[in-house]
Amino acid sequence: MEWLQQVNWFVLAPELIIFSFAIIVLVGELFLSANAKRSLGVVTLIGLIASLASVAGIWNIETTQFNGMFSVDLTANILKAILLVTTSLMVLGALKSRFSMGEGEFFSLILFSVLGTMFMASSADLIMLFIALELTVLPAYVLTAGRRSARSSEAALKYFLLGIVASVILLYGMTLLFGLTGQTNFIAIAKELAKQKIDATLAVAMLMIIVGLGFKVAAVPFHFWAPDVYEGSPVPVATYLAAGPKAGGFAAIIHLFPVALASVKPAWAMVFAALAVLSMTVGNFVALAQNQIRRLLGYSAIAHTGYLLIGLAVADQIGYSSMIFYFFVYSLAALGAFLVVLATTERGIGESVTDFAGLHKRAPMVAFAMAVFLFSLVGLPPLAGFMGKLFLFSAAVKSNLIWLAVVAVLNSVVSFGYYVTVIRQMYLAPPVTDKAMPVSAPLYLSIMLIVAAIIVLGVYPTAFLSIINL
Amino acid sequence: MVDALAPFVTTVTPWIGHVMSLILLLPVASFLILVVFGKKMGERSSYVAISAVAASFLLSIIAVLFVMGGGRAELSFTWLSVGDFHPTFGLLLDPLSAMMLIVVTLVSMLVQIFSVGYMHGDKRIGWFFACLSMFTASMLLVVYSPNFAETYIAWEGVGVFSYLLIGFWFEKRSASQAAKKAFMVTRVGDLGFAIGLILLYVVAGTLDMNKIFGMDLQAPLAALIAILIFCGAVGKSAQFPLHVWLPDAMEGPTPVSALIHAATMVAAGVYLVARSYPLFEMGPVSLEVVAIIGTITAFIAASIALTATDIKRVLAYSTVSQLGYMMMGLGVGAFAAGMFHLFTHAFFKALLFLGAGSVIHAVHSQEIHDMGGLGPRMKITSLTFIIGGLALAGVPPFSGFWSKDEILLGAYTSGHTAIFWVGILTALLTAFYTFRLIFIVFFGKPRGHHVDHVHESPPVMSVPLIILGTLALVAGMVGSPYLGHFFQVFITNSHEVEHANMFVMGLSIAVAITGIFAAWLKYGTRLLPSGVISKDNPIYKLLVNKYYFDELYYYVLIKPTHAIAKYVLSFDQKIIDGAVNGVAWVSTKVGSGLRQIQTGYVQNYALYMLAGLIVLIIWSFKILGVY
Repeated sequence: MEWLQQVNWFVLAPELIIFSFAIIVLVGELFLSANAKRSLGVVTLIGLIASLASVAGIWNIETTQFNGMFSVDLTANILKAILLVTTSLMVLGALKSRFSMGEGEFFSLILFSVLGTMFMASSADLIMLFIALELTVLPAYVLTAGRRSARSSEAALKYFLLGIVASVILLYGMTLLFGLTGQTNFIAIAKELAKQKIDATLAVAMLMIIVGLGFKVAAVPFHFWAPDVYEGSPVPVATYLAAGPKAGGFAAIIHLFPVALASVKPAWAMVFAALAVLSMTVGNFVALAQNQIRRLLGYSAIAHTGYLLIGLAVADQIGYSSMIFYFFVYSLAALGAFLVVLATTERGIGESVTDFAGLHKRAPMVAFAMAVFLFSLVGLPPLAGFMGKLFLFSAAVKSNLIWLAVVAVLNSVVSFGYYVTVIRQMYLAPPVTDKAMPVSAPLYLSIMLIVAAIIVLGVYPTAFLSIINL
Repeated sequence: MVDALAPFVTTVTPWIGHVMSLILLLPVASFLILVVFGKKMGERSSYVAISAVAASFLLSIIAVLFVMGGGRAELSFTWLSVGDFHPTFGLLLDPLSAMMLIVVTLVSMLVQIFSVGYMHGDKRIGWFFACLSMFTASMLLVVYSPNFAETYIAWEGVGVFSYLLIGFWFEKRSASQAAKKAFMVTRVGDLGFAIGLILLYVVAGTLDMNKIFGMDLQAPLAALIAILIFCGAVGKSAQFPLHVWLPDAMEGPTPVSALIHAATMVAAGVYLVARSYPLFEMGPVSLEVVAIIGTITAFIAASIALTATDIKRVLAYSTVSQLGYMMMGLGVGAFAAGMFHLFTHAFFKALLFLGAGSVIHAVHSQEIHDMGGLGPRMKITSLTFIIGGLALAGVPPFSGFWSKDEILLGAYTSGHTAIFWVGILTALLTAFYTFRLIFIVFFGKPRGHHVDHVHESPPVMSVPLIILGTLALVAGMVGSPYLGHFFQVFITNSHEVEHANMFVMGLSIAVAITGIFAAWLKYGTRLLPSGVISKDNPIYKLLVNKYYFDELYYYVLIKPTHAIAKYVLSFDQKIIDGAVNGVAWVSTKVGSGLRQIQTGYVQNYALYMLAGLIVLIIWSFKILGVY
C-alpha cells in the first residue's frame, strides 16, 4: 500500500469532508427519531461550510494526485467554492422545508451529488471524469423523483433516459479518444495528439464529448430535460440543480478541451459559439411564451448556458475567467429566484406567473429580492449580472467575435421581455389577498444574503475578481 | 492661497485608513440592518442608527486630531478595470474633509437623538432611521471623495435619500409634492454639473481632483467648467434662481429639516465649491459669478423671510440667505471665512430647526400666529432658541457673529464694495426677521388653543438642544481673533489671516442691534400701531408672494413642458409603442413556434440530440478540413 502514502490527503480534504458528512447524514436518517432528523439539514450545512473552509485552505495549491487523475488547481477550487457557496445557500433556504422523502435521504443525496460535481471539477482523466459525472447525475435522478406526483416521476424518467443517452454518447467519445491515443490522462492525450494528423475520428470523438457535457450544462439541442426537470422536481431540488451542478460541467470543459483537445481548438471553439447562439436564442424566445414560473426560469437557465458558452467560444484565459465570474453571478441570481419560488410555494401560492400578482404588497422584501434577481439576470446596472455580461461580452469583442457579442446583447434585450412580466405582476397587478406572506427565518436570511452579494458584486466586482486572479 | 487643497499629500498609515473607512461604513451597516430588520425592530431601530453615527462621530474626532497633528491620508483602490478604463474609488482625509466629518456626524447624531422623541409612535420609524443613516453615509462620501465621478455618485445618493426623507409622510399630498419639487429642481442644477464633468473629462482626461488641480487649464475654459460645476451647487445649496425647492421641503419631518437643511445637503453645494476651489481660481471669472449669485440669494431670501408666517419657512429662507453668505464668502476670495460660516451655521441652524421642532411638537402647528408666550412654558426650548437667534443675527460673542463678520470683512478688503453693502443690509434684515420670530413665538400673550397645555419636550429632545445651544455659543470662538483664527489656519494651512477691522466689526454689530431693536419695537411692544406696514403695499405683496418665482416657473417651464410632453406622448404611443409592440409580438410568436419542439416525448428529444450531434459533426469536419 505504498501509493497510500504518496497521496497528499490534505488537498483532498474538501471531498473527504463532503463524503463523511454524506455518510453521517445517511446514517442519521436510519437511526434518528423523526424530530432529531430535522437537524440533519443543519449538519449538512456545517459539512458544506467546513468543506468550503478547507477549499480556502488549499486555495493556491497546484498539484495532481492519484497518478495525475485528480487535479487541484485554482479553476477547480473556484468552481468548487462557487458550488459549495450556492449549495450552502440552498440548504440554508430549505432548512424549514417539508420533504416528501426523508430529510436524511434528501440531504445525503444532495451531498453525494455535490461530491460528484467536485470530483468532476478536479478531473484530469477520462475515467475519473466519467465516474464523477455519473456520481453527479445519479442522485439528481432520484432527487427529481422526490415528489409523489406524476409530473415528478415523468421528469425524473425523462431526465434519466436522456441522461443515459448522453452518457453513452460521452463514453463512446471517450473510447474513441482512448483508441486514438492509448491514454486517458488529459495531458498524456494532448502529447499523443500533438504527434498525429487531425482526422475525422478525432472530430467525432470531440463532438461526442461535447454532447455529453453539453447535456450536463443544458445547452441547446441537448437541453430538453431542463424545463421538465425544473418544473417537475421538488422545488428545493430544482433550486439545487439551477445553480450548483453546472459548475462541474464547465470545470470539466475548461480542464478537458484546452488541454487534451488543444489541437482541434478552432473546431470546438466554433461549435461552442454555435451552441451559445442556439442556447441563447432558443432559451430566451421560448421563455417569452412561458407562463409557469419554474419553466420560465428553466428556459432562462438554458439561455444563460448560452451566454456562458461565449467564454468557451472565446477560448482564452480572459474568456474562461469571465465565464467563471458570470457563472457565479448567474447561479446566485438563479438560486435566489428559485428560493423565492420556494418561499411562495411553501405558502400555497401557485407556480404560474400570474400567481405572483401583488407580491410586493404581501411580502415587500421578498418581492424586492425577486426584482433584484431578475434584473441581475437581465443584466441591469448596478447589479452583478451587468458586470458579468460586461466582462463576458467584452471578452468576445476582444477576440474578434463581435457578431457573437451582438447576438448576446440582442438576446439580453429579448430576455427583458419575460423577466419584466414577473416584475410587473409583483408590483403592478393587484394581489388576490392583502394578507402578509410569512417567510421562514433561514429562507429569508438566505434570500437576503444573495441580494447583498448581487449588489456588492455589481458595485464592486473587483472584490471577487481579485480572489479569482482575473 | 489655498495651499491645503493643492496636490494632496498622500500618506496612508494603516490605522487611520481603518478609522476613515469605519466612519463611512458604520452608517451604511446601520442602513442595511434597518432595511432588513427595521420593521420588526420598530422603535428600537433608533438604537442601531444612533450607536452607528455616534461611533462615527467619535472616530471623526480621532480623524480630526490626526489631521491637526499634520497628517493627511488618502485611501484609494481601483473600482474595476475594463480595458483602459480604470476608475478609482477613494477616501480623502485633509483639513477640509476632517472639519466636515465632524459637522456631519455630530449634527446627524444630535438630530437622530432628537428624532427618538419627535418621531415617537410613527409606524415607519425603522425606515426613517434607515434613510437617515444612508443619507448621512452619502453625505460623508461627498465629503470624502477625491474624484469628481465619486462625488457625483454620492451627490445623487444625497439627492435620493433627501427625496425619501422630505417625502417621508408621503400620505400628505403636499409632502410628496415637495419631495418631487426638491428632487426635480436640484436635478436642473445637476444637469449643469454633469455637463461640466463631461467637459472636464474631455479636457483633462481624468476626474481625479488631485491631477486636475495640478494642471494648468486655460482661464476661460476653467471658468466655464467651474461655472457648470457651480450649477450643481446652486441646485443643492438652494441658491438663486433654484432656491424655490427648499422652503417647500419643510414638509418633511422637522428633524429631517434640521439635518438636510442646516448641516448637510445644502452645505454640500458650498462644500463642492470649496473642494473645487483650485479649479475656480484657474478661471477667476467664475468666482465673481459665485459671489454675485451668493449675494443676490442672501438678500432675496432674507427679504422673503420678513413676511413668512410659518416658523419653519422663516428658518428655511434664513438658511437660503445664510448659504448665500457662504457663497459670497467663497466668491470674494474669503475661502476660510466661507467654510467657517458653514461650520458655525450648521450648529446654530440645526439648533433653530430642532427648537422649532420642539415648539411644533408642543403646539401642533407651524403658524407663528398660533404660538406666542411660549417662553415661560418651554424654558429650555426658548432659551436655546434665543441663543440660536442671537448667533444667526450676528451678535457677539455668539458663533454666527465671528463667521459672518469674516465674510463681510473679506468682501470689504477685496474691494467688492457693492457686495459688502448688500451684505450689511442683509445682516440688518436677518436680525430683524430672526427677532420678529422670537418675539412673536416666545413672548407676549399666548394665542391659539393649544397653548394652555403646552409643556417642555422630553429630555431626549431637550438635551440635543442644550448641546447645540452650547455649540452655537462657543463654536465661533475657534475662528475668532482671541484664539488666533485657529479655524482659518487649520483649514487653509497658512498663517496669513485677515486682521480684524474695527469699522466692519462695528458696523456689523450696529446693524444687528438695530435689527433686533426694530423687531422689539414692532413685535415686542405696543409702541407702534399694528397698521404701520400696510398689507396693500406692493413691496409687501411682492415679498409675501416670494417674488412670484413659483408662478414664473409654472408659466415659463412647467406649462410648456406639459404641452410638449402631451405632444411627445401621442408620438410615443402611436409610433414608438407600435414598433415596440410589433417586435414583442413577433418575438412571442417565434417563442411559441420554437416551443412546439418541446413535444414532451422522450424519443423525440433523443432524436433531436442525435440530429444535433450529426449536424455538428459534419460542420466540424468542414472547419477542420477533414474530408
